[in-house]
Amino acid sequence: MIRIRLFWLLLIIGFAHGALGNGFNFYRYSLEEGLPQNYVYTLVQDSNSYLWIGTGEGLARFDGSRIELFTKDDGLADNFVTASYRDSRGRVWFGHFDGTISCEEGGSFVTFRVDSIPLSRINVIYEDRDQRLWFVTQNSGLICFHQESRQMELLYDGLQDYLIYGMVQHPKGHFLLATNEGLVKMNDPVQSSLEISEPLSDFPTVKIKQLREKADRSGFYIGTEFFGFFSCSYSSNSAGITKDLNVKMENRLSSNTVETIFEDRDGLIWIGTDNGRLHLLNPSSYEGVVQHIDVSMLEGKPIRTVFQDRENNMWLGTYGGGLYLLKDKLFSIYSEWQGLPSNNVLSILIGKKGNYWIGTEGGLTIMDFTENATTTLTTADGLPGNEVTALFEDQNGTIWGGTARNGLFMVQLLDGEPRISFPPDALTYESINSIAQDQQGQVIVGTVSSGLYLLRPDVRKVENFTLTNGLSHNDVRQVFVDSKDRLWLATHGGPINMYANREIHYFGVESEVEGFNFNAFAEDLKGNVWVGSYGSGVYCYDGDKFKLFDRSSGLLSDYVYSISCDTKGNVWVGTKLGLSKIEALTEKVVNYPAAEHFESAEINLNAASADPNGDLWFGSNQGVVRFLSNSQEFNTVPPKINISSFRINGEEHPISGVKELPYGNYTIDLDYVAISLTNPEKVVYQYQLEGYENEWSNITFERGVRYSSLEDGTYTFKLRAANADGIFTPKPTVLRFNIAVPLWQTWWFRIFAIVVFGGILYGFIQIRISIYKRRQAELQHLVNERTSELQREKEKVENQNTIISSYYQDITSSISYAKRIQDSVIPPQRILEQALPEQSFMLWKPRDIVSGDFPWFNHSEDQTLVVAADCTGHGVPGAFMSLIGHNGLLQAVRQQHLTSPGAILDSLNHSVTHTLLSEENGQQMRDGMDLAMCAIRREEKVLEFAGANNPLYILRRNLASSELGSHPNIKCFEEHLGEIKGDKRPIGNYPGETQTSFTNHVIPFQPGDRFYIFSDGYADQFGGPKGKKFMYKQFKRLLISIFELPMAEQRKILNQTIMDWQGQQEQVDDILIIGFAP
Amino acid sequence: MKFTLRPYLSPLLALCVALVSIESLWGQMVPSRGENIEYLVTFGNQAPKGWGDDDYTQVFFFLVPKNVREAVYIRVYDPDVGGDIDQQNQGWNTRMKYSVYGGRGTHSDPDARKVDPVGNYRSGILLDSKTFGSEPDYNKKWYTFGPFNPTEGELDNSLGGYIFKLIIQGTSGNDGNLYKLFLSTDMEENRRVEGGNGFTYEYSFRLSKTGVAAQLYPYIDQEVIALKQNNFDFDNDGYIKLYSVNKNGHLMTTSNDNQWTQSSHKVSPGERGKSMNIQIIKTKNFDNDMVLYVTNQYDQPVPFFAVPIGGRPHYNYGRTKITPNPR
Repeated sequence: MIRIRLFWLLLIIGFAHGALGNGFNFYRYSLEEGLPQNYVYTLVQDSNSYLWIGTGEGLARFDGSRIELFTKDDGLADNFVTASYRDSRGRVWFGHFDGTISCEEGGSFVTFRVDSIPLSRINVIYEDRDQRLWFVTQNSGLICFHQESRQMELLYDGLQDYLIYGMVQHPKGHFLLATNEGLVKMNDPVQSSLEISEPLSDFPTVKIKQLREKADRSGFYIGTEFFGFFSCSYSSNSAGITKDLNVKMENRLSSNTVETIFEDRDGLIWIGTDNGRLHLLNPSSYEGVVQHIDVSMLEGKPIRTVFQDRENNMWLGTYGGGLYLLKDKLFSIYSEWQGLPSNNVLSILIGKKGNYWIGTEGGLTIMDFTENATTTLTTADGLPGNEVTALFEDQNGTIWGGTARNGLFMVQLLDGEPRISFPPDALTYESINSIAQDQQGQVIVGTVSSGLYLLRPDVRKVENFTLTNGLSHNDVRQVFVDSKDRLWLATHGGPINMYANREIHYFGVESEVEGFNFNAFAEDLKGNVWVGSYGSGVYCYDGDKFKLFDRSSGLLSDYVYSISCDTKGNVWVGTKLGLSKIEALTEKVVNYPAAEHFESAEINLNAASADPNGDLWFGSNQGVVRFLSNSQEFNTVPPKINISSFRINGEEHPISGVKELPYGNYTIDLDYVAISLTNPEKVVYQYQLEGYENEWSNITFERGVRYSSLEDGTYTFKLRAANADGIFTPKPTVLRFNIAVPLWQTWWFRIFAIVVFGGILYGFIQIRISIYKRRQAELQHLVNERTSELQREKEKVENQNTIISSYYQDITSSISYAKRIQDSVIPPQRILEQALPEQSFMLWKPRDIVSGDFPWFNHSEDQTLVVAADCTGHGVPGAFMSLIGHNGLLQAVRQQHLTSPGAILDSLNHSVTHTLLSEENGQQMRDGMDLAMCAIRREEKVLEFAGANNPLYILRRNLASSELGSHPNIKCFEEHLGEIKGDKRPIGNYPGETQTSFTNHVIPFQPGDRFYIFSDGYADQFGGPKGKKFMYKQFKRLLISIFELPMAEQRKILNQTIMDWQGQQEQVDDILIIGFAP
Repeated sequence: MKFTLRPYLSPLLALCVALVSIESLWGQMVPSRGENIEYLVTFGNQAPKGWGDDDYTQVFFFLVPKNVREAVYIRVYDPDVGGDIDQQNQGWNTRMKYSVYGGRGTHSDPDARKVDPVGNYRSGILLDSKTFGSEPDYNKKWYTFGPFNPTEGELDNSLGGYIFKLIIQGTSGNDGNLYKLFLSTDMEENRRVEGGNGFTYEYSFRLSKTGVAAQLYPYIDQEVIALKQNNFDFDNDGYIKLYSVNKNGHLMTTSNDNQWTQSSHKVSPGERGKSMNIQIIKTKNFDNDMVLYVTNQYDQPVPFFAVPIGGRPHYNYGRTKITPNPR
């Protein structure tokens, strides 16, 4: 029998809450993940939750997913970082290999260098009770940083002989230094001159490689070279120190040289030794042995530093192996390393008395918590075989064990001492799979190849049931008695067997159980029986029907090796790939793959049990896999948000403060990260830009957002994040920025604009008014000038008018006088009236005062001459011409006594031609006259006519049909008017022109005939509605219409007609019409 | 019968290659097996110099190739002064201090390359230190300094790696400390650092047994045109000969008890860029500790490498010098 101190019971008793144990997974960060070097000297987490990793080739900052490197180029004093510390003010300090110091503050580094001596590397940074920072150099003394003055003070003299690895301050004010010579005492060198004691004799005078103050500052821990670990308290004794604990190899510390000490928040001490091993110690329940942490994953790399982050994750910085994160705390593995006889655990039983029975390939281990001891039984102690495949506790508290090839045995604990016995029939050569007991006390044993045994030890009776008795198969993997005293048998081959009330029931295809091979049973808190199959998943039997859970339901595998139920009613399904948990309430399947959680250990057949704490224990090929039910499955620490980049139109801007931007159109880019080192990949984000959007965004994994086309407004960017367990940051992180409103939208600008506009308008108006006034004045001046000018002109015109009027009056007087002359010269109309009383009329309408048209009469006994002459021109010229014509006519008639009109006209022509000839220039005036002359010889009843250009109209009823009308010289117009044209020549020819005689027409007339001679003034008068000439045609028709009227009436009509026609028009020529009836 | 070398050239060449390979396997053990030196020796500073140590100090440098990323250890065999190996002078009263240096100045500081411990010969950053007295726990046992991150050494690009310095100094007493060193990748075993080497500018060592030639390998760089050999307290115990591709056992002067002596030797162009071989043949039957160093024409010390750079030199026995045809 092997009895050892039950060191790992500490796990269950002392560490149950902390859930620390062996075999946890580590996640490694190394060069491949971006570390600058695999030598990690120091770890520290800043207030923003960034994890700073000091290495020999740079300082790395880790946000859970990205490692950012900082070097001298980024402001560090040196690339080689050997120590770090976050002080009480939140600043992070870094000590370097060359003795320089960097401080990260506000996103940049401040460096310090003491140049008085060549410095060695800084081993530790310590903040004393007065908040002074001490930088402990290896062999260059101490550097004290005074926070207020920000001055570095080097303390070297007296310390140069020591290698210093750490320091703490005693409550009394002095310091303790860990040196290569041991622990020495140093007074406060700032208060007085430095004094160093001899190495304290209570401690080994060896190299003290670690000196860590306890978290509550009640003492310190020491790691020595060759003398193990010490825990000390400050005391009031003369030495001021009490040694509480010394842990060495005798206490299963793997080496007496301690390299690393770290106290976590649970008060557990992590101890790293020079051989690369890691140990755990709980000082409050220390029983003389330490727990080993399996760091085989670290491949023997020495652990340089241990660190616990704000989420309680444990980090290991190694020397050459990089950085390791303790991945989870849900599972632990106990194996040979902790004292099991074999890693292959075949059966587990949690006894009613609290004993843990572990059946392995190398024997049976019994853990007795009350005695705090463990015992391993093997064949040497009387076991029939070392491969313990089945364990069961009967109603009497006796433990039944089954072996792989050597049958049954029983163990009873008498005063804590195991006593092995055997049942009456120990089935000595059987290979036992499973053991159970029904309510009648029968022990039921399932075997590998011999079917089922029913044992009644009290009556020494054994019954065997095999295929021949109705068993489905002789390989009975598990026997199970449920709370209803039903016996369930899992066999390989055939349906599920159940015995109840001495009857066997089969559950196969007809019960919708497709499986053919079964391995395991369990009963949940509701009384449902769960059946694990080999290849078909798990069936849940509620007493009525079976419900299947398989891979399609989410199980890791359909090949089930064990089923167990925890205290919450969850069902745990053990497979080679890991564990699947079917949750009691939701039937949701949660998987725990072995590769991720327990080092790919393979769960063994029916080696599973739940302890009173709710923890589950599974036997595997690598030891006992323990599920820690009270472990902190949920990370309640919200992530820490950091906005890493704030870019405005692509340009980086500081994040602090409120950014005021001038008006414009902006694109805002924000990059951020919420740090949750526990599970950084599962961190999610929500954001909102107040002023732009009214609601939070959807949940996203993205670590950046862009807002485009932002214009004036007040914006507040709010960001929140949740860790992998959905715990959100309590308050969103806020970043504010304002984009100014455009100038023209500000109230003051509007007022200003109104004022300015009003001013401009007023000014404009004033200017306009001024301009108008000036213009008006100018105009007035101009008007005055013009008026004056007009006045002058008026006066001038008036003067001229006066002159003209005078002239006019003179001329008019002259012309009037000339008219008198003309009137006196031209024979009066009474001559014609005398010759033809009431048989004639004359319409003479001179255009001016004197007339160019003139009548001429001469009455003799034989004949009466009637002339209608139209001199060239009118007015005064015509009047002068009329006088010439009058004289010519008088000369022809009275001097030459001519009577024939033709002859008279010849004479007149001759007279006028010669009268108008100018001797002075040899040219003759082209003036003359047109005229028609009639000689009426009433006696002969003939009328002679001669005309110069002017015709004679003869009006007679039906003239055209009369003989006269057919005369060749008479051209009839319509029926009643006949026209005899005058010769086509005027009176007054040019010299040299052919001088022919005027034609003398002789026309016999009848009573009632009317004759008309006239000038062209009547027919040429403009007027009428269209302003046209009256024309001869209309004149003829007018005469036709009136020729039979009395002569006076005719004159009146003719006069009225031409006046009507003329209207407002001016008279264009002199008018002369003479009508007569011979 | 006329002897011709030709049939034996190929086997000889193969043997040389094999020897070089074997030497590389000896790497980091100081003294190396190829040096045929039993132990390095350092006396307590109260010992008479005539016992074989002129300055009670041994300085050794270790070169870790730049590409080595794993941690290295410097191991000391029998580091204490007492027990079975060390040289007792009346009672054991000696304390021996071992100090490991790295970082800037470790080797580059001129004082670090001097043969005497003067000035700033402890240049660099002290990485670790330990003082031993007579401690039976370490009698014929290894003590390990480290682990050391290779980058904690001083980078010397001309040598292609990081350099650590180990100073062994007798701080008190008058006994002689005999010890060996090893540059290892393992804390508990001697596992060589691939490509690693050890070198010093002054050798203080105990001669091997009578008839066995201790062999030192100074490296002659391209600047050396003449060298001066200095030895101390040889007690005229035999011969010191110089071998190179052009020198086949040139005799060097030898010192007597508690005396320095020196001899000068020309260096031909063909000897540059190679290691020479100084063989010290002991002829008398007593333990003899001595000091030896070599300087160049500027009195600058020439390093001795535990693993000779370019391999162990072999005298050119009239082998035809092959020169390219003129074009």
